Amino acid sequence: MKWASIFGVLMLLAGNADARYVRNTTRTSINRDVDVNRNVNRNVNVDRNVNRNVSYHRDIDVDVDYHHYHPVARAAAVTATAAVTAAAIGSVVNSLPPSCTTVEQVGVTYQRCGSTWYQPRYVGTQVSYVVVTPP
Amino acid sequence: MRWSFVVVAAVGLLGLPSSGWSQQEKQGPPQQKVKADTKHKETDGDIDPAAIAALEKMGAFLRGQQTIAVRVETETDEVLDNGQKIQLNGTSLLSARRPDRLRAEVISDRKHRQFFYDGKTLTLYSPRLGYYATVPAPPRIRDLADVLSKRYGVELPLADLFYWGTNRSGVDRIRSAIDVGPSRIDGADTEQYAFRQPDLDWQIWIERGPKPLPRKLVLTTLKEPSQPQHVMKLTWDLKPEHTERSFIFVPPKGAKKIEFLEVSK
Repeated sequence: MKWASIFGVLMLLAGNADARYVRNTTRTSINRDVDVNRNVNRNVNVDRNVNRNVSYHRDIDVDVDYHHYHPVARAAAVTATAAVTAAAIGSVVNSLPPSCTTVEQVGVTYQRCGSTWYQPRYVGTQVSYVVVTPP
Repeated sequence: MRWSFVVVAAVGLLGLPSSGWSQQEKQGPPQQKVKADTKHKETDGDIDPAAIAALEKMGAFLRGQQTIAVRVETETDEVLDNGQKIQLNGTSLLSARRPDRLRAEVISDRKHRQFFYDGKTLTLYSPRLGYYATVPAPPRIRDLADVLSKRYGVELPLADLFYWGTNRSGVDRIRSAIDVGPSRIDGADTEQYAFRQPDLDWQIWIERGPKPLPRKLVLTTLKEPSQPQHVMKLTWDLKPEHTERSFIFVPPKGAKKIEFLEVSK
């Protein structure tokens, strides 16, 4: 019991480790000064697992196609929080909780994760997931 | 000891080239180099017209190529929220036929994306995830990067290649331009140039001879205290065999169509 709670705290800490977020400030083009943060902030609220809105980051943890070689701690923390706060419709997450099912309905692709339904969308070149009303 | 100090001081005062420079001067084009050296201070606003001319020559050459294929090995410093720098490696492939066909692929350890553009639509596809999105696109490559960026937040890989040699080449932003000297990149003779513009220092290695192609680029972001860099090494094919199919996306079995979350209308 005691160990479990310590483990839980550690997982949450790991899950909230901001160090894994990248600032996305490195220029990759000479002629295009792109400020992704500025562009996306206007319209996208990325609702992260800790109930605060953060600006859109390209995230080392999530800017990936597969998540299996990343710390499990973070995903676990997301799930733990998600259980407390229901994901708001319209919010955008960069990665899905584990154990989701792909559902296709009327040509639209959804990810069903427990009682929450997501629609994958491209946000820039990254695939993110918008919480939607169950179809 | 004392003498060497005096010599170094004298060299510094006179603005003479240091030993590294004199070495290079023996090989490099002499007149130009002397001219650059007598200018002495490389402050903002110090522009070597020869460096700008080299850039423009390269731009004109690139613009004159109807078809190109280029493979780029990239190293990108990403700065974490705690200020730590992480270097990520990747490969980008770009094929284009002017004015309206383009295919690009960005492959890194973490991400794999393909771009297909046929003058009417652009498709972004993620082979690993199986998701693709298709959006209307402008009829010219040169306008593609703007639309993708403004509307969809997508940065077209190697967009610079389509800006050089046009009136949007960004030469007017350059505040300092120097000719660093000769350099060999992957067996090719190149000339290295260094430029400064607001928030960005950058260097380019341009192949010498009849094909003034960019062979290497280093971009240094100045806004960030740790000055992260993006390094590109380019391998060129100016006679690629493109077919019409190269630029058309055909959804593989199981691929799923999704939408973009637009950043602005």
